[in-house]
Amino acid sequence: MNKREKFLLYFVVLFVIIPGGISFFIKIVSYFMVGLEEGMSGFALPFINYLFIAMGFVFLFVWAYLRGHFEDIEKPAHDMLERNAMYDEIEERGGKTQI
Amino acid sequence: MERFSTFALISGLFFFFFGTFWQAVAPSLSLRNIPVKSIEELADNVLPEFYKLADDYPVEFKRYFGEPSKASFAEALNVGKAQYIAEACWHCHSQYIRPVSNEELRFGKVSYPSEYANVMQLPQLLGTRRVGPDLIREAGRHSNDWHVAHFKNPPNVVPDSVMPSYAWFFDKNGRPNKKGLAIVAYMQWLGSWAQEPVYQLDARK
Amino acid sequence: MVTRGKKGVVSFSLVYAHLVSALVFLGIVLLAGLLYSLQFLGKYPFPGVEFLSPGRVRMLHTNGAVYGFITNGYVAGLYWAVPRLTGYKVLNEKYLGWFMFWALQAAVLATAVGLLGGYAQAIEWGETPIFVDPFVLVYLLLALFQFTVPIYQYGKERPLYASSWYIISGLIWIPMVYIMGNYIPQFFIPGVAGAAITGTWIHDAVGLYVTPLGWGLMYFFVPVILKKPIWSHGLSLLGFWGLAFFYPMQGVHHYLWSPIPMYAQYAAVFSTLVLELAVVTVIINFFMTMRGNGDALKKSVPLRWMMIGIVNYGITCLQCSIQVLLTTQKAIHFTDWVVGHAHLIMFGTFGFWILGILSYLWPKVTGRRLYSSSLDEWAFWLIMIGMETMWVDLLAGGLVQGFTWWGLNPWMDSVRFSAPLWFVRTVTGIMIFVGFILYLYNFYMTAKKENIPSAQPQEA
Repeated sequence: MNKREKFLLYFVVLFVIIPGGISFFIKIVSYFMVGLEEGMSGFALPFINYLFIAMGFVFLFVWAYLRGHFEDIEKPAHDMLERNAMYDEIEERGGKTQI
Repeated sequence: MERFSTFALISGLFFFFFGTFWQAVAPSLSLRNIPVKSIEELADNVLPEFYKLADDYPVEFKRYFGEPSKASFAEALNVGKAQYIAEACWHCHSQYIRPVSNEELRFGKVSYPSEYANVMQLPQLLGTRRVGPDLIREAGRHSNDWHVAHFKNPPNVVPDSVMPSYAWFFDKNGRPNKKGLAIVAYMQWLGSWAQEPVYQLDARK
Repeated sequence: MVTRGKKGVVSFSLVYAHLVSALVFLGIVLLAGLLYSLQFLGKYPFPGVEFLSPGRVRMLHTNGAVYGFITNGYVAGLYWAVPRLTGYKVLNEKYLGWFMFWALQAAVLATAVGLLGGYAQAIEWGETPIFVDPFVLVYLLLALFQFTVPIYQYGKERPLYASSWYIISGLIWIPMVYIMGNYIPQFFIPGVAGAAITGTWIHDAVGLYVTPLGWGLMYFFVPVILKKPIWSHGLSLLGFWGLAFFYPMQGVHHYLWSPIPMYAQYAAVFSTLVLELAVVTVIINFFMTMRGNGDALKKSVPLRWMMIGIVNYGITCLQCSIQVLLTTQKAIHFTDWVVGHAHLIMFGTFGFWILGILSYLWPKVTGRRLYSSSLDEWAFWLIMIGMETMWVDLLAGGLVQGFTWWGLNPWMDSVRFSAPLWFVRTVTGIMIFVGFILYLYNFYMTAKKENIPSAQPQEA
């Protein structure tokens, strides 16, 4: 990483990612606060629920990552084609069920 | 690593189902302070058009609803809403006024949330398409006779109308049956809470 | 790798049965749509007949499309794709498979009878009568087990392919959103909060069921027909997880400018715009896969159906990001614009994919060669041109109606000005129907004609 890239990295982190993250966090907190207000909660809660569902996906993503689903990311695409070609061959040899 | 991945799988599924469960329970918990009007509360104010309906079609009205009263008005509203749903009126008529596109000028007061907090909006009938006009400010806009003639054959009243005729709202003699009376009552009720009275016929109350 | 003896892993008869009923329901659905469009010309053939009231026929058109045509078509595709993706048979073919098949047909027929009989439920895309809902739900749960068990068996040991991810998530999502959308606004939450949930269901029925399963099948069939792996499997996973994260928020965009609080509407608009990112990755992926294989489009009609569907998907999603803006909504909400949008996504995209899957699988499951490739071409071009023309026509109609209303013209002006556009719509509907008849005849003859057993099934 040369000097220019380093400068760019610090610049982006300082002026884009950190302010963005902070304001996003504030927004999220105020969103939850709206959910606690009288009268508004009926509308905010269904959407907070969806955040729970999204949380579910975060964990499923972590699970998939830990189980190595993304280690060799292009492999499944090739595997699938090979397997399919194998079944085509089997069926052409007459292994198929009759209708 | 293996243990943590199991943990992640279980938490993922947990949040997934918890989110769905919460989806069902939370809104009803949080809405407990917002009163949802029952049909009796809605029918508390029997509309003048309903009395007028009893005058206009005395035989039919007596046969299907008896005397105009709170109970019979509630029944008419229920039957009318059922017809509104069964005929899928809500596919061509919306039930909300937007604050844009001059809709205030065309239809009247912009819709507000509390007017939907009642059992007549269960399920909600806001609608997503308008072939015909919006109906949430329909009360008192047309007379009962107009509605009856319109349901019988819309193009007779509104030239070039594409609304189908609802012949089964009428009996053999061409008089409105229970469904017909009820749907007219329902039309006259929609928006009656938000509209300046067009004419007063309340003397008999 | 697991193989079950010499036999293949796919149950041909189940695939065949689902394909046949998808075709039958498509016919019914197209006919219903055509009938309904005649009402707008004042030429409805059954005026005053209660059971064929245009309003009820319209519900038959939409619900038949989702539950009859698309579900049957997708399940046929799943019975083919899932075993071949994983090397395991589905959970149970002989009992569960056939029970599910008949249960689905019974549920769709009960829905049709219920809708025409006046027992509809006022939930868009869920007009299935309340007494049919539990059976649909049971069906969806059975389908979940039927298809995810082999994927799970495979995924225990090896990384999953993008198709499997899409299929699992679509099948898990749909029972959940079905319960939410069909019961909560119906029995528990009235009015505006109910509208927020209904909007979520309207969107989820298309976005969390039809879309993921459709993409799952496309990620399988397009590479298989091209005999070439997808351009970037990593990008396809990015598209999948993007869909998973951003989809659940956006239902309220069906009720913009309504009494639902504005912050929910803003959230819906925003997440809809973000989702375009996921959509673009998917479309780039398929076009890069097609790169250098343009010839295949000339030779293979199934591939052409699929690719034109993907193009239509791109158009619809681009259109979606435009029409979801609050400014655009002022003019086009409530108009035919939205109807055009819905037709392009439900038939122009997912319907075309199913027609593509059907024309790819049919010669294989029947073991015959295609009856006539010129009929196939005619059907393709008629339906395709009909569909695109209908879309453009409805967009134009939407603008006419929206601005007539905005300009405070008398209401009937919007109807009168739309009349020629509605006429064109009926004409395009007839084009699609004629195309469908040719398609049906072609595949009927393919199945019936016995003299040409195909040693080499027709492929790209």
